Amino acid sequence: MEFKDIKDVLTFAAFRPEADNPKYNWAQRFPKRKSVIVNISRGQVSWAYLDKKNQVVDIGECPGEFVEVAGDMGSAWHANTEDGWIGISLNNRFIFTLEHNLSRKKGWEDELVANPKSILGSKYDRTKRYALHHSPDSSASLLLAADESMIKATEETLRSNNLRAARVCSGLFAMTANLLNRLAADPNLKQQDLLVITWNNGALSVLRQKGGQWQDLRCRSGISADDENAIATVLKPFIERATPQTRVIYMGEKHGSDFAVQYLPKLSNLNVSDVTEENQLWNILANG
Amino acid sequence: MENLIHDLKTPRQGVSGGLPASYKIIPIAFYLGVVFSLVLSLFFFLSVRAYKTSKIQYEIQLGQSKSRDSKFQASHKEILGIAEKAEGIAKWLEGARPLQPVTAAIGRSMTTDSTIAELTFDRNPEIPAHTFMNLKINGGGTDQIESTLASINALNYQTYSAQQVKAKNATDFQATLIYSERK
Repeated sequence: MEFKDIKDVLTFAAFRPEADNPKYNWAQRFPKRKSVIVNISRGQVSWAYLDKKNQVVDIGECPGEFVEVAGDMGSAWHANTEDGWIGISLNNRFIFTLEHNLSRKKGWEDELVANPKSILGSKYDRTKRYALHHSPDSSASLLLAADESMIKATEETLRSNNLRAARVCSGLFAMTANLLNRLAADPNLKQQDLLVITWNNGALSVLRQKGGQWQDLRCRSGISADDENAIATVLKPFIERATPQTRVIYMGEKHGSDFAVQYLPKLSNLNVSDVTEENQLWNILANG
Repeated sequence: MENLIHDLKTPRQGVSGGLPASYKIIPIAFYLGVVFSLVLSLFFFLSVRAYKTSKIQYEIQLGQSKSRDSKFQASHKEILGIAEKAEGIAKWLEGARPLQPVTAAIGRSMTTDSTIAELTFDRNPEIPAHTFMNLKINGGGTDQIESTLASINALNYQTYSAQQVKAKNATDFQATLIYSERK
């Protein structure tokens, strides 16, 4: 037994889950501790400092690749954490797909990490890492496939800057899952014809939900809000099939995001509800 | 519905979910022990301080008592000195008692057949109250001695260690006279 173990027992730290334990939410991992969450997009990195009450106290962003930005900001990020643990939101080189009839047996979360092929079957690709969000009302599931080399490169960059990844996730996937949970909990919205659009700083997801059923999904990461063709390619099929009763539920990473400013006005013929709150992305990552 | 966010990072072996909550009794017991020790230490500290205070007061009282005792001893010594002086004066007074009445009484006790051949009084310097008398009488005999002793006794003098030596027509009488107040 080392002195640190005794200290952890006496400070009650030993009774809290470790910072990189994925079975606990962020607040349980960092109770009364400062933390930093970083969102890594293509050509841009943004971050938020959380105080000991898990509230956003400061945000920042910097253009450039993560390796360069981490080299500049590593010490500042480390200074705003307790032990160098930070949360990562990967916003590039991933894809969402809509799957059906995936296994939901007990312990599927651990199984998806240890042996994803047993859950995904032929859809499994050894160069990807996966996350799932199941529909509570159907057999449909939202499948996130992220590039494993990107994750490993990010972890290596953190290590070289004296930082450790407490969690690596997709901010867009977390936002989409959060929004879908909210819709599932609202009986009125659940029965409507919905276009669920989530946008996180260059990553776009559009899902059509009708009568509580997830019908279609398109996703694209690493695009610019100025790239109208790319965004139109994702949106167009959904807009074409929209009816006057179709309602658009939009959530962006923050108030007044580029996507909201440029594209929501173009959907004015539909009933658009922007449910974005202040520091939306950071609040979801800090509370999930 | 729980919004637990997925995690894609490379899994680490042996990630702890924290010790069971029931084990919190260990640090709680430790802190209670620390608090109890502090309370006990405070109690002992106050006790020691109170003891030191009472000890100082006791030492002050002891010093005062010793001072009073030494004063008493000095007074006692002084009184003993005065008593010794008084005793000396008393002895002197005893020794200074006039012998002229004894001489006169002895002289008057002589009958016509008797004469005083020699009469001496010696006082013992150590015991001034004792007066050694040496009386030589010509004539008289035993009756004369008894008459003389009766005269001396009438003056409140007692005779001790009396010795009487009779010679032809003379009596040599020696005795120690001690004055005693009659009640």
